[in-house]
Amino acid sequence: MKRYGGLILSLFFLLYFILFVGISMGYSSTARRMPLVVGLPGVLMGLMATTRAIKELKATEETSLSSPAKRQRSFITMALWLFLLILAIGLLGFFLGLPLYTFLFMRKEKEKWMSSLTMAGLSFAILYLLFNLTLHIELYPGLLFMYLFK
Amino acid sequence: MELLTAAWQGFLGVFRIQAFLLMMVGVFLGNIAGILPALGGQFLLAVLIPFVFGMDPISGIALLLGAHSVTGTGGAITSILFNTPGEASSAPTCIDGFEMTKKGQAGRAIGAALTASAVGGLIGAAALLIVIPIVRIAVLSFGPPEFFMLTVLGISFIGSLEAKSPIKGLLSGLFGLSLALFGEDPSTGIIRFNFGTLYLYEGLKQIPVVLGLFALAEIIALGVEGSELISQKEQEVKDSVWEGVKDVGRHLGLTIKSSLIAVYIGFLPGLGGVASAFFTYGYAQRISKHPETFGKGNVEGVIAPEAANNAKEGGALIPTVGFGVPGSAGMALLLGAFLILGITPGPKMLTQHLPVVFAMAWTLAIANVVGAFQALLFAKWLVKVVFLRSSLVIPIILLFITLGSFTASNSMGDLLVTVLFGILGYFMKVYGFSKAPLVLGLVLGKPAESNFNLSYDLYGPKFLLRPITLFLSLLVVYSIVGPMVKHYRERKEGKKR
Repeated sequence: MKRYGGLILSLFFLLYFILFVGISMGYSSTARRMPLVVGLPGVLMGLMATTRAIKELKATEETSLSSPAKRQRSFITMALWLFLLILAIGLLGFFLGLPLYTFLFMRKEKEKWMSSLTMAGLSFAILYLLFNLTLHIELYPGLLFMYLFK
Repeated sequence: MELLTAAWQGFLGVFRIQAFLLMMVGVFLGNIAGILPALGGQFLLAVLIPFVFGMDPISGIALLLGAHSVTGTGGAITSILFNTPGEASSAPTCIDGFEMTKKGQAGRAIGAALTASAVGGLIGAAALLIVIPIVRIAVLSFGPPEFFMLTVLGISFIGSLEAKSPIKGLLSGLFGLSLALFGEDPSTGIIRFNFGTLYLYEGLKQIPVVLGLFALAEIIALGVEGSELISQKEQEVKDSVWEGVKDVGRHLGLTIKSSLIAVYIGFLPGLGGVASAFFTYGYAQRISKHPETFGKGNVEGVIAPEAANNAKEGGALIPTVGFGVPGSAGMALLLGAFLILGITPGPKMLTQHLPVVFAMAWTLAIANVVGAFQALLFAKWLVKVVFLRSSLVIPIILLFITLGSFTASNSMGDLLVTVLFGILGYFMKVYGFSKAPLVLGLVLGKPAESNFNLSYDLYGPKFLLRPITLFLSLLVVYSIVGPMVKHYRERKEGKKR
């Protein structure tokens, strides 16, 4: 992953700029003026970065992949936990979703039950006391509650 | 007279209760962020920016600039005690600072570092105060073509100097510029790049993107690496901190010279804190009476980079405020915050919002002195935060990131954008793509497009031939081609070896 990551990211930028220029061509001449000023050099830079990444890939010798593989696993786990965060807030709202997420995340990290519960309680207190009572900010209630109490 | 009145109004503005208290909070958080090796100043700014919504400009600036200006102050403590810089710009402080700790002179090193930081910050603020009237004259003679070219110059400078590879830096800057073009075209009203979604009608919002790139990406990195922020034993400070304070007095000439060099480096786009700290460290060694003791615990090696660290902010604010072209990622984030607070940098800022500009200089001066005092008083307790486990830090910070992202426009789409840019920011960090040009492009994209369209409509393509614009264009070409050639030569020489 470490070896191909640079190439994948360069390719991502290249494809993005090709798409960007392609879409720009559909707009009127005034509306596409600035997008083309940005997009065309973007395609060029993307090409140069991709070519360099390919050259670097060829030059790099095979190395042990045990550590990068572990990193890759940790990253995927972390990314999944972030999407879980959106899901928790989307379904249960900030008041319930965030404390629940805090509790689950800390338990996954093998924190003690007591400290996980305390932190979850603390995050609820911050949300309720600071954002709801003091700052009067209306936070997202979550799809479940919107459905139940509509 | 107008300038003096504005300076006085700015001074009074900073000392209003709300602004002053917010500055104190900012300074405290800035010290903590500086101490935490995994996070840092840009992270803190990204997290704090959503909370300035609805604040008056001076209060918002007091909070953000107060926090940003002292991260280098806190960063010195971990550099000296644990050989781990809280901020990259504190790295040169490790060289002699940690050696002093090994000799049992940690207190002296901390005293010297914090006092030098305060003096450096004061000099940076003074430089800003002095230069504002001069910059004002220059800025008022600029038109849309010059401002457009200045934006391009800012991005090309940062893109080609800050990234390990100039191509990656420029690519990042162009990516940021392209993201700024999403949404309604200011000239025609056409909705561009919305991919059929309502969410992108007004374009990508800066706060969720910035929070993702700078805050969430660091949290992902912390989660991937895991464990404690620092894996060393706690160090005790037994000797006199006061001795270090007196050291700065003994080397006042070095402190002032290092600060002035840093103001100049801070003014130049793209060089930033790390360059000024290392440059002044080298300078201190060159002019020292005992250059052989550098690297073995010479207090001058602590004073010079620490004074430079805080002084550079004054210099960096000059192009940010005057021309709307920030010289670093931190300044680009601040520029974004200025726009949120309703302040447009450039000529308007130096005419309509002059008291706010002076309030920045006062904030810099006061925050640096208070920050050094706070760090001196609470150093013993502040360093304990570095022993927190990532499993405790991550949920707390995620709470503030999600709240900051959502409250920016009360949209769940913002949360998704934050997560996506957090993942992109993590990959950019791992694969050596600088994030500073991206955020600079994102912040400057809209004004750049307006200036470009105005220039084109007024002068056609000939706007590039106006004298200042032509000069700036040549600088752009040099800033892009120069580092590429240098990079190419270095790679070739590396292969030969």
